[in-house]
Amino acid sequence: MSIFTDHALTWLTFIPLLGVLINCVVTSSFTVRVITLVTTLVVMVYGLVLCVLFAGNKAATLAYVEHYPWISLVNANYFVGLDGINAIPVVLTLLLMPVVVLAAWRNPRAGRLFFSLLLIEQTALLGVFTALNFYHWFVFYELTLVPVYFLIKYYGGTHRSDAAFKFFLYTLAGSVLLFVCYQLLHYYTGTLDFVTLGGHGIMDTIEGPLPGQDFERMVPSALAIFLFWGIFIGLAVKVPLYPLHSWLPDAYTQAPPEVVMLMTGVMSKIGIYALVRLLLPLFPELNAQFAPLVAWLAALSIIVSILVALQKKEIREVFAYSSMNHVGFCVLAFACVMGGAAVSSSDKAFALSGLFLQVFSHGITAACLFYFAGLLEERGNTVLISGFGGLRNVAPVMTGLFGVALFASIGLPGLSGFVSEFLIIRGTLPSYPWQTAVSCAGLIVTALVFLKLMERIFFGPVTPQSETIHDLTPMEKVTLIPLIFLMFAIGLFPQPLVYLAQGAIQLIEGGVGQ
Amino acid sequence: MLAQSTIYLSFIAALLLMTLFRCRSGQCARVFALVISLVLFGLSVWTFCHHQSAAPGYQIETNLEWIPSAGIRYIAGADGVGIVLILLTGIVAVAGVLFSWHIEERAAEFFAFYFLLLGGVYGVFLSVDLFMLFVFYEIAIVPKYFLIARWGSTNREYAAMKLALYSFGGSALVLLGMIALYAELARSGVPTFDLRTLAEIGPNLPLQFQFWCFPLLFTGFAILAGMVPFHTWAPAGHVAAPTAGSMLLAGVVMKLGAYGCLKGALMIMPGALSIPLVIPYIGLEIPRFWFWMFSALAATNILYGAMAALVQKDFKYVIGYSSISHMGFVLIGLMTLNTIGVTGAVVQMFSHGVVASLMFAIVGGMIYQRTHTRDISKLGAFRLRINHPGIAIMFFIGTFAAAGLPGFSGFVAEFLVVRGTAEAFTWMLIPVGLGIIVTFAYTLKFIHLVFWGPHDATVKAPLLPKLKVNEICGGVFLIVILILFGLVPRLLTDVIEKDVTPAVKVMSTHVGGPR
Repeated sequence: MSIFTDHALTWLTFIPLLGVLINCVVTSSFTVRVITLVTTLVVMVYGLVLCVLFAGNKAATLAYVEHYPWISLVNANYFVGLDGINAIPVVLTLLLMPVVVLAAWRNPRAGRLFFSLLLIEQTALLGVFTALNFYHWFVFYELTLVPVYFLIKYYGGTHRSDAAFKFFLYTLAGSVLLFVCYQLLHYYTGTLDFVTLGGHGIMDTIEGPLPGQDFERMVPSALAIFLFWGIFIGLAVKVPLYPLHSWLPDAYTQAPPEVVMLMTGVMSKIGIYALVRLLLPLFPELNAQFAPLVAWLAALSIIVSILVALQKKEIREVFAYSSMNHVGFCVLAFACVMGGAAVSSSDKAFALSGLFLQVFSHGITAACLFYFAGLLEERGNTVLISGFGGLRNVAPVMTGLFGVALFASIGLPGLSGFVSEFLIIRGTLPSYPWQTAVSCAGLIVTALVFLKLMERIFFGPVTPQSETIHDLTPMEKVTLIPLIFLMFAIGLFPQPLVYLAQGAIQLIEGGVGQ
Repeated sequence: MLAQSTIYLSFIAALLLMTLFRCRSGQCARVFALVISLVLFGLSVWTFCHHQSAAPGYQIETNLEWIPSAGIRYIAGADGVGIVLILLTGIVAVAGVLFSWHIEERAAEFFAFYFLLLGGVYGVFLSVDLFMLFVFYEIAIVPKYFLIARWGSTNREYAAMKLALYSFGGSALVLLGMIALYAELARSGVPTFDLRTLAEIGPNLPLQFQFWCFPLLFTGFAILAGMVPFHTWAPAGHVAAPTAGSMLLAGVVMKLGAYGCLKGALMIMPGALSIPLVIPYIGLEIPRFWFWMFSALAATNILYGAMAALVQKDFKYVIGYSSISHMGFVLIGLMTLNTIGVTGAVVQMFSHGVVASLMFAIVGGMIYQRTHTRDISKLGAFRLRINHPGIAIMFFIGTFAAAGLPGFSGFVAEFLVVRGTAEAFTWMLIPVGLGIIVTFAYTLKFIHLVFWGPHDATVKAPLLPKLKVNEICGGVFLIVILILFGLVPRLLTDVIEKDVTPAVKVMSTHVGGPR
């Protein structure tokens, strides 16, 4: 077993590529699906075992570390590790991939290329979440864009070319900004390792603390402000935050539904994760200084996105904007954690737990919502909300499960969305009351939007398009059951995830300092 | 002994092809050319590997007297920078032959000029004497003219003439600079053309002299490197040239210019960069004039090249302008005058050489030869994506590698160059960053137009021949090289760094620190 734990994360990241290789020589479309599913399940089991072992061993430290010099000229290292911050995004990726494969099973256009691109995307995502050196992280960050670009271009809707182009170029512009900022950071600090940049001191054994570890003194303060906002804006494009979000509605409506599940479930978390991993440890004083502003930006994004969702007439558009809204809550929580001495550490702990729980919960619920949207579009032959009606008469099981997902998204107690939103609001309310108030208004509007949607689609007379909708097939139920189960499980027993996030809290508390 | 045999082998092969193979069919010439190019490649790889463990400085193989009265010697050898470019030449030589398999008309002559060009190129990279470098530099110009004028496509005579004239113009400037350098050295001591000695005593020459001699040498070499505003020969020339011609031109010959900029100008007279331009009548004083001038031109290369590529209608012109853009990265890397930047510039020389060859091979060779049109608006009708997935995949990989997607060597080069720029002149990051974004913009635009282009659904796509073995081999070969050096860049950076570090130390002391 030791060969698998020695380079555990490298194996985890690259096993999907083995699946791609096997797919290249296989011709039957059924075999391709089976190979892909088996690969993602193998990765999932392996990864979950690793995470469980990690959680058992004090979730606060860095586990499965691999650190090799790559380009020593610029301190670019191949540096992976699992800790409290990336455990939850990694678990989310592992869990969602098999679901996405199952969701794409019956897609007639999905062949070798489709599933191979999905597997390559999984490698890229796992690489992004486990990387701990900027060069290494950036390689995978840019690589996540390519398979999705081709998936949208090959298999998307009518405006897929525009959507793919916008998605790629917009996100790339943000990443070029990140790229430039980190070059400057390296010039001043001489390191690209996130852990060292954050000065956590955990990596003393590998690369001792740099002299004068307090980087804010090493970086001239004007430049530090530029770097802070440069990195923030570069990541705000990815999250996305209003007003840098315009790639999102196009991408989410034009991509094939299975790909959107992946995009909203996992890829949208890259931005949040990067904020915590990259930005948070860098400039503690600037964090405290700009935290209220960031909280306002988050609140703005939250309220605007859901108000826009209120106006939209297509199902996927509504879900796209509500997705943006939920991710905005993560940024609100992030702002609270940034707060510095102004925010009490218990509040920060609440906000951070809420952030990670929201990451997980939103990943699951949003993926579920888009899956249903895809099913409805495909069977009802329309994308408009008004095209549907009386679904509960025609497809009761689908209505039931869809309803659960919608309620989880609203934040009904007992389902996963509630715990995360509660924790976030509990954390941010004492220090940023106005921003939180605006966000709560957003919550109310979310409930309004989804209840309206439910009323329109589930109840009322059966419309002509709805008549043709048949209920869920067994395969679809198999796809959905894990997600629905998790929604209840996390809602009722959030402890395991909170425990994983605990490690993050301790890491950040130790690093950020009061 | 082995490295310089590449020069002699190339010339001998050219001679044999010219004389012996005249009456034979194209097949004999092709096979012979392939064998020779593989031997050249093997020699290049062998010397490259052998060099990995060598000490810094030139590994000299031959040092003979040539024209003693003028202090000219025949010194053949290479240092870390040169050896990387020799490896590049070997790689492109093989790929070029593989993609010239279709040439029927006077194939033997074609390959004769091909190896003549290669001989000149190897000569430049293996010269440790400036005059010898110049001689080989000039030798390399003549075959270019014939390759384009006889076997090229659109506008070939005009393009060949333009390319040759610009190249000769550049060498004229270099000659002037060399003679001036010689005269100045003769005044104060023993004149020599040995690059090693020049790098030591050159920086100590009077600064006023350096101020006007440096731009002569630098511009002369930079013309061949495609520096704006002397770049206009490049798009026309690359478009008109036959596939292998474009591959060599964009892949290797432009690097001759950059190599000359480094060895023949920057390392010899870095002091010129520190002097302000003073015009007393207007009372104008621009500090560090040549430093800012050439850096600004390099940045213009990057951004202008990318923007020009964005609006092209002829497919090959896109690649031509993207070459201008990428050479801008090389030039700005050289101008950063720090270890990371200059190393990045050399890695970019290598990486862009491979990538440009790949792109010209795909666009000129695979696509143009089948569709006989380079008009982007018409390419959609061929439905290349569906009918020729092999071409599509290679193209996608090639363009993304060219744009600098991580995982390929281009990204390593870009990372190092940008890091060097951040240190040397931070605000230049703005045009460089914009250039990267525009590069991806045109990459995506052309992926879309060529492979998802508009087509009439009622008309059946014209049938095109499938990919042949030589094309697949050539393409895969180049892609593997790109991925290999993208994942293990240490193979390149170690070798380059050990020679760049001492050079940079000398250069930066004479220029006086960044900013």
